[in-house]
Amino acid sequence: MTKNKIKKALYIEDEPYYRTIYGGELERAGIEMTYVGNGEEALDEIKKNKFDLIIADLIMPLMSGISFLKETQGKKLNTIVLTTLEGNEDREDCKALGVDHFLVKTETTPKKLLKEIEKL
Amino acid sequence: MKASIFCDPKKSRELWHDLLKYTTIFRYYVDMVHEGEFGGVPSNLEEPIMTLGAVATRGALFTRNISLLSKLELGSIKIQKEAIDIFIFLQESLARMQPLLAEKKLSSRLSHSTVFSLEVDRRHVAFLLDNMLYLIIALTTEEGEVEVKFTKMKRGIILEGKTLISEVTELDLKKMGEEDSLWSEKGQPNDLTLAAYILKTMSKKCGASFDLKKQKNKIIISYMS
Repeated sequence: MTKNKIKKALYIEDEPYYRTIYGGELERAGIEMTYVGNGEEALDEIKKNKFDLIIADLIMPLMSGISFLKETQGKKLNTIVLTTLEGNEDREDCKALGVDHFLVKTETTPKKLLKEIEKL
Repeated sequence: MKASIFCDPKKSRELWHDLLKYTTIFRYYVDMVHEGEFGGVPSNLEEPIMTLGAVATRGALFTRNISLLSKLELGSIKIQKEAIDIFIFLQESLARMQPLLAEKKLSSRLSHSTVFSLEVDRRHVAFLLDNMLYLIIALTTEEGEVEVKFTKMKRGIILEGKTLISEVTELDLKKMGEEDSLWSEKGQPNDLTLAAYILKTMSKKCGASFDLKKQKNKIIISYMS
């Protein structure tokens, strides 16, 4: 079980392999995971359900992570961006939209993601 | 003549995104198999899986380095120096490079007296540390030892390989990191010299110095900010 208060998380990720890699680790730690493939589906999901945490990819079809963050800006959602994009510019864009937790997949093992979540 | 899509920062960024995606997925899946997430690993498969882990780690680092090289050539690298607590970054980097240490049966030691911060770019600190570790691992003999030290006085990191592989000369080390050493005489890319080039170029951009030295049969790599 996780050592903190995160019980339910929404993972916005279009790549099924990443859902297995990261989502699987969080599920094994006892977090109830819901998966959607883009920002549009995520907007629908957060209307229907309450989540302790949202993990968002940035590059996705239909509605990107950045568009999702713009739509939800000001809603005080507990959000982690988990992306393959490594540039400072992407980090700054997310920060400007109120997201402080920006993790790069190439450096973030599933165990490191879990550790970061336990710190929230 | 149509310009290469690699010259378009936006298109290039998305191409690299996908390439990095596949190398990252490959690497983490091998880790998961190795850690027994899908059940125990039969003893006859332990060695091939360890080799796959090392290849996946090298592949992922090489891909990130070419991606960074492409950004350097496009001039789209933005450096933001800030004081970073380096200890956790080093621990994480050692964990990422574990498959390479394991493949060469190298022991590693992280020695420090006090935790201190280093003036680096947050987005590129993992790049720097992974490349430093990769270089020291590649240049150390099998079953050797790698030591990572901090030098608080000079605000830097020193990596020491206790036994340099015998084929590497002082001249080879001197050439590493120079642009013309990126390609071998046969015209093949070399991941080792690319790692050194990335280190040298990024250190320069951060106003730091990077050095590769031979001391008796030891190899010493330093980054001073």
